[in-house]
This record gives sequence, structure tokens and C-alpha cells, in this order.
Amino acid sequence: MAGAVLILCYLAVVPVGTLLYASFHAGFLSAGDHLSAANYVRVLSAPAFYRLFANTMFYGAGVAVLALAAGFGLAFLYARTDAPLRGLGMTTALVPLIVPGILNTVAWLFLTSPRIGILNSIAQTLAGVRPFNVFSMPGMMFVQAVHASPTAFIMAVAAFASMDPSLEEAAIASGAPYATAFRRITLALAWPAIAAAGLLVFIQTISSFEVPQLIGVPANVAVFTSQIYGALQAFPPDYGGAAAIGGIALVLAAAGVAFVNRLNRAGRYATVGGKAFRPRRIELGALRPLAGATIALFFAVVVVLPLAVLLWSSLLRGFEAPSFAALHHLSFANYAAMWSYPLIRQSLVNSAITSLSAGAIVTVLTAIVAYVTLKSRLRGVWLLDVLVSLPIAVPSILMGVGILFWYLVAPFPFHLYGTLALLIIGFVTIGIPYGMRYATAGLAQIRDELEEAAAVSGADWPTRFLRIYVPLLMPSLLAAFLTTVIMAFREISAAIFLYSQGTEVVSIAIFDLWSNGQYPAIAALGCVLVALLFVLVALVQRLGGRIGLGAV
Amino acid sequence: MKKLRAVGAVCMFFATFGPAVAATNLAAAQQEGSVVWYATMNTKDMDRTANEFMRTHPGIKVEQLRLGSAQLPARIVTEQRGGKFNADVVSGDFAQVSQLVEVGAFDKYVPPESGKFIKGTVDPNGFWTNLYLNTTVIAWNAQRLAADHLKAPTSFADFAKPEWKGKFGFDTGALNWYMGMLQYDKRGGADLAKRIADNSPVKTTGHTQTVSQLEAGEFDATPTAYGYMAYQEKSAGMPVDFRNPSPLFVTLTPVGLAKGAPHPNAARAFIDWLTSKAGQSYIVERGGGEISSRTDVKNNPQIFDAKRPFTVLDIPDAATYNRLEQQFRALLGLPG
Repeated sequence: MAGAVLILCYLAVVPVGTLLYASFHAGFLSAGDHLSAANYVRVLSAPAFYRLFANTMFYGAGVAVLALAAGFGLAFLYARTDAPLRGLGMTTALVPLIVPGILNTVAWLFLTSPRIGILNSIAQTLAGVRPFNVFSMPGMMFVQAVHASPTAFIMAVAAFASMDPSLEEAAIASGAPYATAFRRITLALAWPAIAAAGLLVFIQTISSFEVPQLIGVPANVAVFTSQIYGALQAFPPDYGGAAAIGGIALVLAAAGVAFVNRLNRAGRYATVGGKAFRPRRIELGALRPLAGATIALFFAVVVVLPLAVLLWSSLLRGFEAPSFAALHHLSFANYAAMWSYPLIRQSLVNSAITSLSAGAIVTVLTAIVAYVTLKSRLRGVWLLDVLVSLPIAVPSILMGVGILFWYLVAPFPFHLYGTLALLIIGFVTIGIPYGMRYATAGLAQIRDELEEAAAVSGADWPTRFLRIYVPLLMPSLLAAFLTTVIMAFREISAAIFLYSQGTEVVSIAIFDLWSNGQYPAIAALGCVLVALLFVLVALVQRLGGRIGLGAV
Repeated sequence: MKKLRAVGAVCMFFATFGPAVAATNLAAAQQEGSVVWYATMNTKDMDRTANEFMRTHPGIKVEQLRLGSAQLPARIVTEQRGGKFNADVVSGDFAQVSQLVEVGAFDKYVPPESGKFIKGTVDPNGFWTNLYLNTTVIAWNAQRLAADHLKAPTSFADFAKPEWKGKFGFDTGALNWYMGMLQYDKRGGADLAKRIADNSPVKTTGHTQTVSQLEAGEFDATPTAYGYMAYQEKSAGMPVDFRNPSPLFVTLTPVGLAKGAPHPNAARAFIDWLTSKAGQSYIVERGGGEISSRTDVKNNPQIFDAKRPFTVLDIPDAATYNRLEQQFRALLGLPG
């Protein structure tokens, strides 16, 4: 037990600590390294920093607003109305959770690039215009929002499902028009969920690497992530500058998390009591077709278009817009050719190893730590609670930089640098808060009597934990495992700093193939990957169904 | 006369003991079992080259890490400063390699056949030998040109013309192009570079990606393609064609032994092969069509003909490199 707690503290504290150390040292990784605030002074006194800051805030906020509008709108139609095609809502949410962000980004580059974008070619044929330009701030926001809206959707569905409909009904019965009831009751009750979802999307957005690098750099729009990556690629590398920008991003993210926690702790919004609710479905009447069309459009944009463009590109030798002429060139040659890339074969194996290991480690660690925080009566447990939620406020790109710095300088007798262990450490650290969420939710439902009875009968702690908690927690543990596996399979923002020769994971392989202009290979790999991840999810859902776990 | 005699003696030594030295190296290399190669070569060519070495040198595995030319120096310096000596053999663009040599990231190693190289393509201080040459050419997509009713550009100056506004791609990493423009004509080159940069190019990242985007039709032409890459695509039946402009800028891509290489013998064996006639011929003929600077290896005249005029770019010191890079980024409106 103590071991798990120690490991978790180490994982949570060390990367952030190293990053802050580097930010407050002039000449980090050089001779003459000394304590100094010079990095912050230099970063904050450069006028370019404020443009960068404004870009980052604007980008993060823009994505949050777009994703919230789409996610909450769709969730409302899904959970609270009788709109047709509601079932598509959940599929729309699940697919982007499975598809790696870098693949989504590449797909949207194929769709909306000014000259070769397929949507532009279609618009050109139909209306003589080429309206889309992904290489712009709105383009970046759109692509990231498409990827982030499911997060908002899932949180919104949870919020709508736990709302007491009698409050709304009381307002309507008292004569309030529905719009007023919606605004004063529904929206007011959903506010903490909206804030939490907005913040999560904001942090994910300012942490993620793929859109700023693949779209922002050619578009000349710099944000924190691309600047941090750029500073570490510069020559000589600007470790201090990158760490100082990271430190500032960290403070921002932490402030956001503290704000939402405070909002939730205020408790004014609690509607979950001891009874279950069956939220009233609003009858849309004449608006039903419009609502159905909205859901269908959302499904088309988020799921169909990106997957279709990947499938199309995977069947062509070079990139071509759809046409009758192109139909003659279709073949499965790329699917055969992709296996000739050692990088692709190696990266699939590496991704399987790292994501399964990270999943297993996160599941075991968080189960034990959740037990300590919830069931033990140790003093100082609150500190552990803070530590495990720390990684959620740390953008994953900073986690990557922190881990890289630490394992470069750590005085260990063994080398982890350049091994898969480094990537596993990164994925475990990022996965801990998600694992904790499932483990604590599951543990909270198990009454202490069971363990007390076992203790009275003479069972020691490991026996009690393994024989009582583990079987009862199985659905939660499986969910934690699966979530971490999928997260690790998609991750690139931390991995980009941690890979080396022979330890490339799938997301890195896609990035490398993109940099090499191997578009058909990416498309084929992307399709194989999506199919693989869908099979994985379907398997676990079936497995979950058997042991009483509903939709994961 | 004494000097000449000394040189003669050294030559005699190599001629007599060269193969023996190499053989000893090979046994030790096989014992080490692997060599880690950091390079900026494109993935496919790197795979092929590594496979050929492994085929001809059983027992030594090449582990490769492909990096962008901008990523290479930072990666190596970061690792070495952290005390993690991971790379054995490093090859990359001349400007970046020279930066690495300047900060002491290389160990000296002169491969046995370095004397076979064209003068100026082997480091006089013994840190590197040229792996291949790159030519910067004008490449175009014939289908796009026809669609836009444009003629193929014949010189860099064409890209500054109004009809080319927004219709050409420009690699934001092509600092060598800018260096070439300045070296060729200090004042006129800088002026032309500015006019081209102001003519709204589509910015790309990396030479390989530039050619791929050209092929996909993202733009009509580019002044920053590498000749062998354009040739590769053209011969594969893609709608890409190219022309060697005048001036033809030629840049070196040196290979050397990384400082503290964990597999030094395997590294030397690999460098020996890369710079040997067999290795260079393989790269030229079956690798990716890169250009050899060995005097006894025949290059494809469509890509590079040593009889026609060309300008080999000077290798800048760190201060010059940083100054030129800043100028180049400002020219393209890129953040510091």
C-alpha cells in the first residue's frame, strides 16, 4: 500500500518539479547552472510573448466555446428531447474518443486544405468557390473543436441525466414559458458541468501538440505548445525559455482547475439526492426534422467525413480528389506496402506494449490509492488526493518535457532514457487522474461492513483487498484500464519528447510519415488503427456486459 | 620534401594496413552488435540504406532515428548534455553538422577511403566526410501549371513575378537556399529573396514534405526542392518535373562519429561502408538517387552533372549561422 502511494507521489511530483526547477535556473543542462528568475524575466519582457499568450488564450477559449456549443447542444437533443436519430449522438461522441488526434488533424488537412482539400474541390465544382482554409486560426479552432466536442457531450449527458426534472416542471406549472424555465433552471443547474467541461477542453487544447504543429506552424499561428516544441528544437536549445513558458501555462491551468473545484464545492447546484430521475423528454413537434438533421450533420462532420477521407486516400497511390477518373486508380496496394515500413511495424508493437502496460499499472495503482484516500483513516490523506489530481492540471506536453528533463539528469545507476519505460511512465502519469475517477466512483459504492466482517474473521489487508474489493470493483477497474489504454494509444503531446530509435509509438510514426510526405501510408495505417481500436472497444464492451458493466 | 615523404609514409601505412585495420574493426563491431544512426535522410532511403548494410554486414543491426534537419542538433546536444550518449553515427545538413562539430558533439574519425572524395567534401579537421550532396532545384507540378495557364519557371526570379503570387510553395527550413542566394550575389540575392518571400508563398516544413505537397497539387511549383527527390517522384510517374537552375546550389550532407558513441567500432564500420565505393554506389543507384561526391562513383547526369556550373555552399560558423537563420525567419515572417 505504502509502495503504491510512494510511486504515485513520485510520478505526480517529479516531472512538474523538474520543469519548475529548469524554469528557475539559468543555464539548465549547461555548465554554470544557477538559481535565477532570468528565464521568466526574458520571456515576460519580450513583446512576442504577449502575442503568443493572446493567441493561446484565444485558441483555447475559441475551441472551448465551439466544443461546448456543439457538445451541450447535441447532448440536450440526445438526453432531453424526442429528436429522431438520437442514437447517433453517442456514436458521434465515441468515435473521436477512439481516433487519435493526429489522425483527425491529418484527415481535416486532406478535407480543407486550400488547394487540395476535397471539400474545396467539391465546392469549386458546385459553386465555383474554394471557401475553406484550414491554415488559419479559425481552421485550427475548428479541427480541435471537432476532436474535443465529445468530451463536452459526455459531460453534458451526465449533467442532464442527473438533473431533477421536477424543478423544471414546477417552473412550467407556475406559468413560466419553457424558454425561461430552460434558462433559469436547466442552464443554471448545468453551469458547473459547463464550466468543468469548458475547462477540460481548454486544458486539452492548450496541451495538445498536433493541431498547433501541423496546422498552426504552416499558418504562422504560434501558441504555447508549438513555441515550447520550437524552443527545444532550436539550436542551441532554449531549455529555460521552454520551461518558463511551461511554468506560466501550468499556473494558468492550475488556476482554472481551482476555480472549477471551488464552483463545484459551493454545492449550490447539487440535485442528486437519493432517488433516480427519469428526465422529461421535451416534445419538439414541428422542430423534430430540424433536430434530426442537426444530429445527422454533426455525425457527418465528426465521424463520416474524417473516416471517409482516410479510407479514400488509403486506396490511392498519390493524393487525389474524388472523381470518376480517380475511381480507376483505387487499389489496396497501400495496405500491402505499409508493412514494408519498419517504423510502422515497430510502432504498432510499441504502442501495444506501452498502452497495455500503462493501462495495467494505472489500474492497480489507482485502485490501491483510491482505497487509501476513501477507506483508510490515515491522516494527511487530503494531500494524496491533491497529488493524484495534480496531473490533470498539467498539460501533457509539459509532462513530456518534465519527464524528459528529469530522466536526462536523474542520478540513477541505470538509464531509462531511450527506452519504452519512459513512454510508459509518461502515459501512466497522464492516465492517473482518469483511473482515479473510475476507482473512487466504484469504491464509494462499497460499504465498509464487508471489509470489517472479513477483518473480524481474521483476513489480512491484501486478502481483504483482493477477495472483497477487487471482484466488486471489476467493472470500474476494467473501465479505468480501457480508458488508459485508449488514451495511451492516442497520445502524442508527451510522447514527442520521449521517443527514441526503436521506441516510436503509432502517433509518432504518423507524425514522422506526415513530415516525410507519405500520405497514402498514413491513410492506410490510420484505417487499420481505427479498425483495431474499434474491435478493442467492442470486445471490452462485450466483456463488460458479461460482468455487469454497461456502456463504457 | 620532408612533408611529402611523411604523407607518403602515411599513405603507405594505410595501403598496407588499411584492410587489416578495417577487419579488426569489423570483429569488434560484430561484438557490439548494433549501431545507432541519427539522420535527416527520408525514411524510405534510410530504411533501404540500413538494410543493405545489414545484408552485407551480418551481425550488426542498424537502429535508426529519423529527424528533421532542425531537430537533429538540438536532440543530440540535449542528450549529450544530460550525459546520455545514445547516437553512434550522425548525418545531416552541412550547416547543422558544423554547429554540432563546433560544440564538440562529434569525435574525429577519418574513414579509410576519404581520399577518394572531391576536394572540399571531407572535413580537413577530420570530423566528417560527405555522405551525399543535395542540389536545390526548381520543381513543378505539370497538371497544376496547365490548370493555371502558367509556364514552368526557368529561374528563381520568376517566383517574384506577379503571376506567381500565392502559387508556389516555399520550405521554411530551406535556410540553405537563402545562404546560396547570399553567397551567389550578396546584394542582388538578398533583394531577390525578399521579393520572393513577399510574393505570398505557401509555406511548407521540410524538403520531403515540400515535394509531396507539390505532387498532391497544393501549389504549382517550388524553388526549394531537392533535385534527387524531384527526380524520384518524376521517375515514379508522378506529375512532377524539375530543372537545375543557374546558379545551382549544392550542399553537403556530412556523416560523422558522435562523441561518446556507445558502439564505436560498429559506428566506424558503418561510416566506412557508407563512404566506400559500394555504399556510395548503392545510395546513388538504389538508395534514393542522392548525389555522391566520390570521384569514382558515377552520378545520374539528370540530377547532377559535375561538368556544369554549380556553387558549393560555404559552411558557416555558429554566429553566422544564427544571424542568417534569424534573417531568414524574419524574411518569411516567422516568429523568432
